[in-house]
Amino acid sequence: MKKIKDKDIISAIVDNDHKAINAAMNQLYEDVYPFVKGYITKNSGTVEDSHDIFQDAIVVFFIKIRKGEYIFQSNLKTYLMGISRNLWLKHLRKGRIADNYSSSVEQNHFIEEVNIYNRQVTIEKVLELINKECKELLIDFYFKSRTTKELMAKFSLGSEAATKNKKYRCMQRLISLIKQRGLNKADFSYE
Amino acid sequence: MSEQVDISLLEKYLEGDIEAREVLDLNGNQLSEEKLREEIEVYQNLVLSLEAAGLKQELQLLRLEKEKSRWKYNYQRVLAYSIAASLLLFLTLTLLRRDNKPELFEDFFTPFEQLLSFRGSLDPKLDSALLAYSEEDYLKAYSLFQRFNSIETNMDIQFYAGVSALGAKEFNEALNLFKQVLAKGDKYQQQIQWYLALCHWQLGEFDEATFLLEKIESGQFKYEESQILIDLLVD
Repeated sequence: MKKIKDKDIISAIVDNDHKAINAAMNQLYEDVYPFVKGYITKNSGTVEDSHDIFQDAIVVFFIKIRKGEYIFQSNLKTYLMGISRNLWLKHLRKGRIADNYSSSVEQNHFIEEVNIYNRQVTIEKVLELINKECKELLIDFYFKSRTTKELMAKFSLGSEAATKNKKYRCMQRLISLIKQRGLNKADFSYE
Repeated sequence: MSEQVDISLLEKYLEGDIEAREVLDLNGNQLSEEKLREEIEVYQNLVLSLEAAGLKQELQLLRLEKEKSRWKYNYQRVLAYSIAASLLLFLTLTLLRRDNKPELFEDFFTPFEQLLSFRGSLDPKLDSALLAYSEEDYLKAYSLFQRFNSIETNMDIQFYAGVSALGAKEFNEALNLFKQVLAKGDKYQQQIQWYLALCHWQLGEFDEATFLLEKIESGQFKYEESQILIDLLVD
């Protein structure tokens, strides 16, 4: 299978091309994950931890690109390894596990990435508070770009108007929960 | 909650379907410019978070698929090695058995043993035939069965005559008798399928034999033996 270039991976995310994104994710898992796994398992982590951290690093990378804030690095693998290491360090500090890794320079370079991660974790916790069907419908619409017709069929909603109304209600519910929990703009803004 | 923007109107505005002044909160009040900007930012960031949450789900699925493929790959390798080892063992045994080729037919032929319905019949000729059959004197049994006038019409007698002919290695005669029995009904269908295969095998008609053997299904008469014989014929 032909290798996807770093710049094409970035383009796929910018264009929100799902097929290309899937192929890119598959390649990143093949090329980068083994190194993340190697680092984490040698630093008090499990294989399960390495999967979680790697996936979170990809998500942070995705958000940066979609926000238009990603500056093209010389090597995507190096960048993702940097995010992964810093996310793992944060996890270790939180658990107060002793760690010999002490380079503060690298940590400072990835402050924004760690902040993005923190915000996403907050939003995902709120997402768990809305009902499962709402969550799935919103992800299907906004991430998978399913049409109203497709959603109508999947969720047995009777009509396209009913589907749109359900989507609005779910979104409204999500925003309401965010505000109820005292989260303000800054808490889930990526600015 | 009352200050919440109406998402449906906000989306219409972002799609260019309505003006900014038409974007209202849930109480029907117009939003200030600053408030509208704020709500747009919240909305867009929330959409981005939803996209990111969707991506995380996809990555989790991707991980499961990779683990499944890895397991399947390892299982297939183990299975391939096991099959190779079994085949090697089987070929070795077959090569050893090839030295006893004349006995091969005897390894596979066994008479059909359900004779109780014939016992104590009033016809002494039938009793004699069945006695010879049970004593594995197949040539005598076949000869005695042939003397029955009703052999042409009685499928049971024809069947046992066929088995006797097969036991006596009169393969063409056995073949004809079995085909006549099949034409009458399916009482002995499973047994005849096996015996016909033996006839064709011994007559050197391996394709016909294999064809019949492959039709024998698991649980049917002589299924295990048919699988072994198929391997021998294919070899």
